[in-house]
Amino acid sequence: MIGCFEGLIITPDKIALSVLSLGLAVAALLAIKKFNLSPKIKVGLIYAHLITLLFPFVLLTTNFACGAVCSMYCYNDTTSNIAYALPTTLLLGTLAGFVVIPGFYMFSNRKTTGREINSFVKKYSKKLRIKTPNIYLIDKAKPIAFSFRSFRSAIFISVGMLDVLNKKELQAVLLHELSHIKQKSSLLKVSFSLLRLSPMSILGRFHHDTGKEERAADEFAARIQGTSRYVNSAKKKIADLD
Amino acid sequence: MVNVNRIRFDKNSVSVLSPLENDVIKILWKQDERRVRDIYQTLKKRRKVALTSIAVILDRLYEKKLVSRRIENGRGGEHYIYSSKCTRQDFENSVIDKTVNKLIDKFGPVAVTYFSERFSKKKS
Repeated sequence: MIGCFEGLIITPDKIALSVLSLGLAVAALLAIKKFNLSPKIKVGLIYAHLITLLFPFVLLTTNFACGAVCSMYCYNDTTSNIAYALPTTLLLGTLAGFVVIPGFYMFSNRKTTGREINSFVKKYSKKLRIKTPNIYLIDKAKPIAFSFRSFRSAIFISVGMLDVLNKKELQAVLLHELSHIKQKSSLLKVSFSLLRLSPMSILGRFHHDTGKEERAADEFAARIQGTSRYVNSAKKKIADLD
Repeated sequence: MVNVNRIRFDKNSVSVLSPLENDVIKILWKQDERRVRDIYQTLKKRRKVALTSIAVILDRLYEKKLVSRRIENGRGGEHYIYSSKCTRQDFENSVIDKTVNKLIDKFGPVAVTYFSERFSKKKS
């Protein structure tokens, strides 16, 4: 028994803790807005904000003192349900973003057996000092390429892409995706989506600039290849296929 | 049964496929299995065409159930191998069958009488 809800129970201690928690939530939000932080710190601050924002609500509506006998007196009212629902939503959102969605894609597609692709990705993962991602094949003729970084990083690529891209263009696409994994793009995308759940996010415009990341990933591929020719021709072919 | 929904009546011909679809399927009727690149290499000698256009057309023919495809492993990664699902004869029979059925559905006894008169004329 972790405790039970008995409506809103306010004590001076709980108020002090709640004010402190909300203060931390605002501080985390301000830090995201004001400072140019690394992706890792940004993700950490987003979660810190969401947790400290939800904490007072759960605290004020939970009575942990009633212990094992609380089921005799406790009842489910709207406040109690919301108090459970909000952190549950956060938990499910996090699970969906980092475990369920990548897991679904990993189990529904098979790994590529292409030796050249695998050795190329292995070589550049080592150079970028990231764990070598698995490369999965999507059985579609449409142009699809994306990457995930969650419990295991992975690159997904459609057969249609392999059909039309030449060796250098395919390498440009793989380098682009490796750059996303290095920059933790997917982690940031999911985290910023979760931040929109926070009512405090209306205080400022918090959005994740994917255009900037795409440009950075293209630049990374062009820098490694010594020319932007292959990135550009791969992009043109992808646009033609779409 | 092939999935053909549109029949075009041009000045000199009747077609159910676009000109590029027609060129691609003709190659597959002649040859057993071909990759996107193989079809591109054959076609580019005859007309100006992009590799991506061939890939798009093959996917369209796959959705129309006129071709089948399987994934083949290669050193540089996997790719699709396409093959025709029916012979040219089967395809043409299927188009005629669909057309006749549609005419009978639309015009009923008038169409049946017309066909009967037309065929008896041909016999005599």
